[in-house]
Amino acid sequence: VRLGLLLQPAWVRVLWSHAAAVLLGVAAGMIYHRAQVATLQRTTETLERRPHFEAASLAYSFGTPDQARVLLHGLLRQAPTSDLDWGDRMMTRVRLAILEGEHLKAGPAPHLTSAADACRRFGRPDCSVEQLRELAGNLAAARLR
Amino acid sequence: MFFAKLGARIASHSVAFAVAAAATAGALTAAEFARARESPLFRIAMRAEKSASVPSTLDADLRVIDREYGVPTADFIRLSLALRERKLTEAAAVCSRLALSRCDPKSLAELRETVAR
Repeated sequence: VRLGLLLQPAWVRVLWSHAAAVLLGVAAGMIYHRAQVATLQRTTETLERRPHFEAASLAYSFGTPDQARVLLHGLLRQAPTSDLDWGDRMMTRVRLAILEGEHLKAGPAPHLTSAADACRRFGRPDCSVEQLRELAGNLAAARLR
Repeated sequence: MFFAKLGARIASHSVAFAVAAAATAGALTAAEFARARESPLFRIAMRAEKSASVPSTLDADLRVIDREYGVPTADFIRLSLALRERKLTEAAAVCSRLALSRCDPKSLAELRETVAR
């Protein structure tokens, strides 16, 4: 093959070597995209969650508890993909805990337990259920004002 | 002469490599955005960011969202968009439809702050 290539006219050799350069370029482009695609997907998914999260904040702050529950439970159907999303997930769970009155009573608190898990994934230092119960109490008082 | 030829060959091969790499990465990234644009929530997010690259399909998108997430998700998203775009008449109409307790201009300004935060 090498001898065959060497016997080709110069312009054919140039054509082949450019084709090889293009193929290498395509491979490099694919490798680069593969390295960046996870970041790109996280960005688009975080963007995608924004309108729903804003609407849920409005529903929680100004809507009825039933309206707020629909929007907050809707948010839980979208799996978090970035640290920021885990922060939003923590707030969503704390708000649901407030709507269910989990901050008012001791005992099982499923939303606060999930909020504590999201809080740890968000990278906050203190994520105990009791700490989040206190946060929920403060937020609930602010909601009533 | 030899070095000039060699330089020209290296340059032309580098250009072929770079153009192919950039075109491939660009095409794959564009495909990723096209996939994201299939989601109604992403199209609404792009509209909120005032992106001109997204077609105006708001009503159809909101109908899909209500089917998928339940009433009144779409109306709250519409309210949030109207507040972002400072369309206070539309915001007041959606606010009344949602039966929120306060839909006067002062309360709408307060709602707008919540969206802006």
